[in-house]
Amino acid sequence: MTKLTKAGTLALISSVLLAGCGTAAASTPQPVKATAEHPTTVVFWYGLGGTLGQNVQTLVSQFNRTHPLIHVEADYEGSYSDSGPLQQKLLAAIVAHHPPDVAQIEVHSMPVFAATGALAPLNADLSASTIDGPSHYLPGMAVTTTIGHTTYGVPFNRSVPIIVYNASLFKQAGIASPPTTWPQLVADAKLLTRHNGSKTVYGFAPLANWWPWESQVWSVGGHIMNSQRTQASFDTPAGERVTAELASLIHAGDAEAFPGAEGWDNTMTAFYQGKVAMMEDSSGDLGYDSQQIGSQFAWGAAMMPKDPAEVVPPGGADAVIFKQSSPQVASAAWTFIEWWTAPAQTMAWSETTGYLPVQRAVLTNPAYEKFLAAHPQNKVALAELAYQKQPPQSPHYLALLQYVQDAMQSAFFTNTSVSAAMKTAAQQTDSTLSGQ
Amino acid sequence: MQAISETMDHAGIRSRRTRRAILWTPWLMLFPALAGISVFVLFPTLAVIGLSFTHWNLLSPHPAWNGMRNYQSLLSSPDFWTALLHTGIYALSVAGVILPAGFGIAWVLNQPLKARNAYRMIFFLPYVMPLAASGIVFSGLLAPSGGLVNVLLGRLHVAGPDWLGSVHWALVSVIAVTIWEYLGFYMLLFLSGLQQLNPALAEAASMDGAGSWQRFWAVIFPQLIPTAVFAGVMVVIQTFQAFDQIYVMTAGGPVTATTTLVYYIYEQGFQFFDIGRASAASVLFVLLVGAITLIQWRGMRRWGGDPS
Amino acid sequence: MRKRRSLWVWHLPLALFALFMLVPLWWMVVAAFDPMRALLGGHLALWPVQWNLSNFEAAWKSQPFGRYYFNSIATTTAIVTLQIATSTLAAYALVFLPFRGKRAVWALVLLAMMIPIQAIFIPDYLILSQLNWINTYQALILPFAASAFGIFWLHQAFRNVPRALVEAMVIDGASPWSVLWHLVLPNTRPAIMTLAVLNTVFHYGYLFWPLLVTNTAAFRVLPLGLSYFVAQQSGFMQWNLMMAAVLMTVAPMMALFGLAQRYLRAGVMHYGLRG
Repeated sequence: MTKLTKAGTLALISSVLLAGCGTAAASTPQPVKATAEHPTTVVFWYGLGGTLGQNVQTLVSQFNRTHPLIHVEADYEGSYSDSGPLQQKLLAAIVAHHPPDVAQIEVHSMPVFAATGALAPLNADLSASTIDGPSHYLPGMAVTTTIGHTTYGVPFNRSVPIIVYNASLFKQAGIASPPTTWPQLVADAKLLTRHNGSKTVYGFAPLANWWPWESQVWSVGGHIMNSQRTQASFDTPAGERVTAELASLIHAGDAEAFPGAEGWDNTMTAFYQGKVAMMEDSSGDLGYDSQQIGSQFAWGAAMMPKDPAEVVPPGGADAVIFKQSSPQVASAAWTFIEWWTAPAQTMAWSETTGYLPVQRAVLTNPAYEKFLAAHPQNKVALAELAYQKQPPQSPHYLALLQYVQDAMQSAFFTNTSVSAAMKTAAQQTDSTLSGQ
Repeated sequence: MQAISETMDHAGIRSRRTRRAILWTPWLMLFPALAGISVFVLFPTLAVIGLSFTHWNLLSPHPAWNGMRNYQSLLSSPDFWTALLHTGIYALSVAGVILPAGFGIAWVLNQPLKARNAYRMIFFLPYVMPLAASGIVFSGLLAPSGGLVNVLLGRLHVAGPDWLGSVHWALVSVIAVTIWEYLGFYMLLFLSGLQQLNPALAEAASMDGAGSWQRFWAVIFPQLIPTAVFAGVMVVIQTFQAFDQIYVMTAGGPVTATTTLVYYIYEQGFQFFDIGRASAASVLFVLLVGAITLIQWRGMRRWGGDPS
Repeated sequence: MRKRRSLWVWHLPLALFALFMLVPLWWMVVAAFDPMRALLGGHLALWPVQWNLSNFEAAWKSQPFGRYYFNSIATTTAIVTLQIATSTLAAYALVFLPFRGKRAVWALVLLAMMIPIQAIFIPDYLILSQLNWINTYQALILPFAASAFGIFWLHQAFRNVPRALVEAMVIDGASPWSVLWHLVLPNTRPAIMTLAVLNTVFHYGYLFWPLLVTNTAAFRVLPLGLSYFVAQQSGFMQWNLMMAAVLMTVAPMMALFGLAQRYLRAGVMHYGLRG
């Protein structure tokens, strides 16, 4: 009999393990009173890597220190932009009914997540808040947080695209001030480009990225989608003009763009090394730029060029709370968001990173005035805020941006023309929009 | 039934209880495996086929019947054909290098050479590396400025490209890491094929002496065909399924330069959440793998292997 | 003798090629131990400026590698154990026990063997999410608890056990369980070990599945942890830290390679025998 039992264990191990694991599933949260030993845990998914990610962790641990009844568990899930892992993880987690409590949502993807029905409406929290709400925010902060009449997001780490330039190289080329229009930028790029044997300094480094592209389309009066949001409308000669001019700058050797997933980082590195005189960048990188450039050369920031209009997209992320969280956790989550966006924290965050301070009150704070005086680059981003335009609120907008991104990469790095590439992107978008 | 009673006769057992045990034991033993395979392989396969005829973005409550439209749009989508093309180039390039090289090395290392075990070990070593780890190491070697490869090219006054960032070189880079990872594996496959050769024939085809090439083609090669077919099919299927190294090195880019069929399915499914289209692509993928596997089994039968 | 002498000319190309194959591994080791970023300073560094463990320390601190190790080893062990148990039982029934429907079961096993998981991950994900198992150990382990390939592999091995011995034990009144435990398993140990080692290598290194079904660092395994480490450096890669992390990930497999090389090589060669 012992022999039989021994062998039988084989069968037992497998069937019991197969069946038995099920019992461990999903513990239902008990509404217990939070104590310092058992604080309410808020799961927060964020999507900023590198130095910015460290800054997030620093602020989170500061919150945890000052709020003994709440523990924010901050998980890095990969980038929140460009269909990055965070967005995929969030959507997949929503499908699996297992989302976090708080997450950063890239501002363009708010309509996608609102459409899932998984986000908690924040209207009541906002109207009761003495910290958050449009009346407290800088103008333009709330362009992306409301879909229909429901507000789902709180501006968390917000930015705008800007031009960053190497003032020393500008001086050498005899250019007094940074360009304000796209034709000026093209002309300046040609002046700034220096071919010196094998060492070339390029006048401009555009990003092969959809974000500044939105500004390129809008500034000439183009439209990305039709007003019913049923069709792509960016593949027109006007909508493509600026992008086409940049592509010909690249092909003529007066600008350099960097391909691939690390294109943006490589652009920044080239700028820091003085190999590029001007680049498209995010105001959220200004802190890092300043740290990397140090005193190597004089540098400044300028608004995105106009042609003739000044129009920029919003950038960065808003914070959302998920419906699934229990009332106790949701209220702890709200406490965390309010703390993060309160003047003291948003100011510290802005000074460290370059992201915009969310609160109007920060602008009149003498400490921040002093900071701006020392960092005039950050003023540019604040000035641009007035020209923010709300991107089309379509649940398919992310797919459109992905197609445009691919189109820009092929237009910048292969022989494909901008119009051919954009035509393909528009067709891909239309087929997605029509449900096929 | 006849077999069962035979066994019982052998055992000389007739009691009803034992009879029942004999009837149930096989199913008891099969149950854990069959349950696992049914839940996680067979049922999902049926589900994928079903979903491929629907439109569903996962977030709407139910899939909606869509007929053949996913297949139509897939077959008329340039992205799908590009992915298929990349898959083909990828698989054929890897096979084109790994099969002859694997065979050549196996041939040499099958000779009574000193230290041949050390060589075998070195060539096989990369196989135990997690593909994601190999991918990251190669990303470092291929870094555009300062990566070992471009530094070496710089010594030769060649400006190395941005390997992973270039539409033209990214797939080549992924191919390179795949070859590095699997070469030793296929070397061993061929080695086992060579060791099964009739010793007399092996002697006849020893490496020196006039006409050894002819002897090789006439005598040795036909005997190696089963191993070659097996290895060929296997390398194609293995590369068809590649994901990890692409994910860490290029994430399918730049543009769609390294988007293979599996990566395409992943993107449609987990990036765009277009479940219908991803499922239709999956069905085509399974059919493709199935067709190749059938070729393998046909080949085995024909050349005397044992596909069971 | 003539043959022996002519063979040594092969050492030059072989040694060169072996070096070539070792370069990525060597670079990994040098970068992992070099505290400076000299490696990517545009000059060749085939030897570290100094041997130093500081990269390992920094990498270990930057990600919960202890947790990753635990997860990788625990899930791999569980998968391999379960798979061997389920496959052994199924293969025994298929080879030695008579029962109705055997051909159908065998056909299902062969069918399942042809379906790659990359084609069915969506329904698998949905099943796991219905069970509320996303981001749990169950999700990492159970889909692989049974394997058609494992059954196939052991089926081939069990068929080589002499039937006469099995019959003799049955006549002596031994139960199938007893035959399996006392006769079949001891006689097929190498094949089982080989399956275990091949599976360990595969599942330890697997990124695709853990990427899909885990959401937090608490359940990430080493290869996935590596990919997050890369992402977290967002382009400004510190290759020396990265290579230290890669080396930490690879080390257990290298150790396994050292210990179980025999089985690994025998296993791959056995694949070939099927040809």
